[in-house]
Amino acid sequence: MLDRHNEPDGRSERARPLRPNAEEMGGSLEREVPLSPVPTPDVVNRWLDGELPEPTGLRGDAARSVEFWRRLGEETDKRRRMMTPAHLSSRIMDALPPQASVTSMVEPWYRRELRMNPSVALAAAAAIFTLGIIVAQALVR
Amino acid sequence: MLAGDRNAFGVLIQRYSDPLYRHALGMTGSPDVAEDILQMSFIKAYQHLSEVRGRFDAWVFRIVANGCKDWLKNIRRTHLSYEEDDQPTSYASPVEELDRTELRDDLDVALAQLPPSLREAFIMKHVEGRSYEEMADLLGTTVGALKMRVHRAREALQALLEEKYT
Repeated sequence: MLDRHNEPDGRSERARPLRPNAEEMGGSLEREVPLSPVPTPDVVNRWLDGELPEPTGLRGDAARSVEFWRRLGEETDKRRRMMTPAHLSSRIMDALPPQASVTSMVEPWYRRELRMNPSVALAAAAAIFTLGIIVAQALVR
Repeated sequence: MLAGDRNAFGVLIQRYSDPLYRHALGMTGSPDVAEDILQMSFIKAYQHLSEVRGRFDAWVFRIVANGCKDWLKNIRRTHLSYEEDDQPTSYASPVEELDRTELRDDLDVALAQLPPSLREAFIMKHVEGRSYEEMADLLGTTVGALKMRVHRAREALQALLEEKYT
């Protein structure tokens, strides 16, 4: 199960679009729901979107729609209160690798801060002086 | 935390796992799969902490959401029923309890028939209780497009369920 979540295409998480394209979804992304949708009255949609209070005094299809969504709302409210199973946090912690990747936090040598002390400065000066002599001799010949 | 402090990462797991679990459960319909996706996502996040730019919760949400879509793409659903992790509240009568359990299962079956983009929008709006602005921020799309998806999801769900529940 777990292995199936690996990136098959080698893209990093940031490089992946949140919504996969139709090809990645095997063409199912754009498929239509296999039923004739029931138009939801605008007043009901606005109620469900939190723009209006619950409509009252409606009749016919609109009243049935309100009743339907009131009933479904009880179920979605219950799901909204669901908590992660208690054992899952410790299971995840146990599965964490020993140390997080710090690859990009290790700076390459050429970006590191140069720290000088008298002995380093003396050695550097000697090296430059010696190199200068070698170069000068090569040029004279 | 970016240096891989396990204890600090544990705090982040505690803080953000509930909404992520609800998302994975809503998208997959399976508590076991939701747990696996959450575990895999947090491990992946831990291994790539240095790549975090911006809000951690939005970044982990993206990993979980992609994990759900990978699962939907690759795996045929084998079971739809919830285990009793959600501790249902007390019901007035056995008949009413049976009725509510039925609605729960029927909603799962109906959600499974929606295209993933509509299911995702409906779950985020109605189960996770997010605003359209927050959804647009997380999904990288517009409020208008998300409203359209949620409205289409409602119409489809009502078509699938209204005969039994009105």
